[in-house]
Amino acid sequence: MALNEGMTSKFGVTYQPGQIIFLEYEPGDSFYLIQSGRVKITKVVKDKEKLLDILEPGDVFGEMAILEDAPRSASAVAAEEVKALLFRKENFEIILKSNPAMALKLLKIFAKRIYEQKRRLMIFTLEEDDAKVLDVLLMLAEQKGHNPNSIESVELVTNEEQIASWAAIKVDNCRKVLTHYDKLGRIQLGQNKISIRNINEIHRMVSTKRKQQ
Amino acid sequence: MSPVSRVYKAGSIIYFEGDKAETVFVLQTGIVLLTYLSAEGAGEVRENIKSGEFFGVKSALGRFPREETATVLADATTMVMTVAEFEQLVLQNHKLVMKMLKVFSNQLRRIGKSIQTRMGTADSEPPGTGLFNIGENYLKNKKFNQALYAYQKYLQYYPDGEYATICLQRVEMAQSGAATGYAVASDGSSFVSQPAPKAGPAAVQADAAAEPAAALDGDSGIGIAKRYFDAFSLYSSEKYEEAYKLYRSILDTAGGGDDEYVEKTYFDIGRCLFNMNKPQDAITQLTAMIKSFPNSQNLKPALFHIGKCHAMLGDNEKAKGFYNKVRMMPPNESINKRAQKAIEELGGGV
Repeated sequence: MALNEGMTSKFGVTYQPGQIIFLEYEPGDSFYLIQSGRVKITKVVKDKEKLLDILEPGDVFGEMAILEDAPRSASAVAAEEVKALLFRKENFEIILKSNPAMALKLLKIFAKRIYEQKRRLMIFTLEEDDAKVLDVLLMLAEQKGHNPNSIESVELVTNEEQIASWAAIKVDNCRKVLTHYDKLGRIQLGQNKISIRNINEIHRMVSTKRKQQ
Repeated sequence: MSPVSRVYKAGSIIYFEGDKAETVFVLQTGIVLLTYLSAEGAGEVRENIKSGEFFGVKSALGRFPREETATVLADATTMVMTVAEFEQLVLQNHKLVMKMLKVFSNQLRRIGKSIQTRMGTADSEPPGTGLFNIGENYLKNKKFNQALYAYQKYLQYYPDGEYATICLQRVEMAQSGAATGYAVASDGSSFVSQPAPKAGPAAVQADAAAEPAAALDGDSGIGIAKRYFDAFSLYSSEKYEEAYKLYRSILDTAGGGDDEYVEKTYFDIGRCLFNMNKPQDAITQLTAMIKSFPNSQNLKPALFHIGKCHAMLGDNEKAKGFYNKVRMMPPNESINKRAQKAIEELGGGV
């Protein structure tokens, strides 16, 4: 993404390796465009710091802050020396005007995110815990790029706590459902991983549940 | 590189939900109706597209299937463009992007709130508490600079917040931790002994510390192996202080002798102390271990750690002496090479 010299001198910031750019829960009124170096996105989940993503030069982050005064939903830490452009909420429009490529990029990010979020919401429209858990598995498989109509096995890196949280049900209930399907041979539970024997099978089960409602 | 005009009769379908999305439409004349199932579970949503408006943008840009069905209500003329053509248009028209960004962000916010409500996570933790707890988590994990950042930000945003007082204390601890590797406040209080605020991570830590102590009752002798592995697991997850306590309790109840776990425990306590940034104590511990167990399997690693302790204390000559012992001690294995490397790093010839 080509940016003129003026922008770098006006908005350029540098972070040292390991330096915090912002922390989860901090109020946010700025967003960033990485020019060089990589940024780790982390979140503390149940007392443990988890790595959610690693962002590369050209990536934009913290942009949700321009939409509403919501606190940061995750932490951003410089993985190495990071040079970035820092934009304040109030400059947003000016910057997009002079940098349409970035505007387009944001538009694409938003489109993708809306789709992903809607997909999450669909899980909640199911009534039974059973169906919700299966739909979470299906969603995770889709996120990995698997076609739900294809007859293939899928391996997911996840666990019952995560699935319970996606489905917004109790971990105990989630475990029961997973164990049940493990016994039936539809899935196989492992240490922090779940293998789906046939993704299409899960897809059909969820569709049937949806139609029965 | 030219969008085409396409005419649709009333009653026809431009695309179905689930169709592959490759194009973006602009309605020029006529009426188009979008229908889709509400993601929030509120039944079917109907949305009229007026002339001049875009549709099919999100799915085309995001490269996912159409999420709605587009039906023509009154004869319509549309401009159809490929994603590439749309991108070109956007690059030249920043007002258009801004408008779309606002529409998208609005949708995102609405869906986000919906999810939060369903998950019961909406407003569960006020941001201030969240920020404080992040600090607690970092402090607990000895990431002092990060903890310091969190506490300072808390004080910056919530100078009168409910954790402000305790934050001031924590800042001190984190600062001392960053300097010495060991978190102690000026009044001598250490992190664990602090009153736990509500059910924050500090409370979790207090519980974790209490657990091994409780496990001691009545199982001396039998449970040593189990406790050793519990301690080792704490050590492996870098919870050195908790590991140290549990290791100590093993020595207290084991009653000496040549039990293999006692020997291992001696060595591990030394490593804990080293990682707790107490090199002097670590040297004492490891020296005692070598005296008590001169044939220990951990002899070389112990000597190597003593070397590291001396290096930490700034005594490079002593450090090199210990590294050299390790280097010369047969059989020649990977630790001998590491010792050699450590000597070179201290700038010494061998």
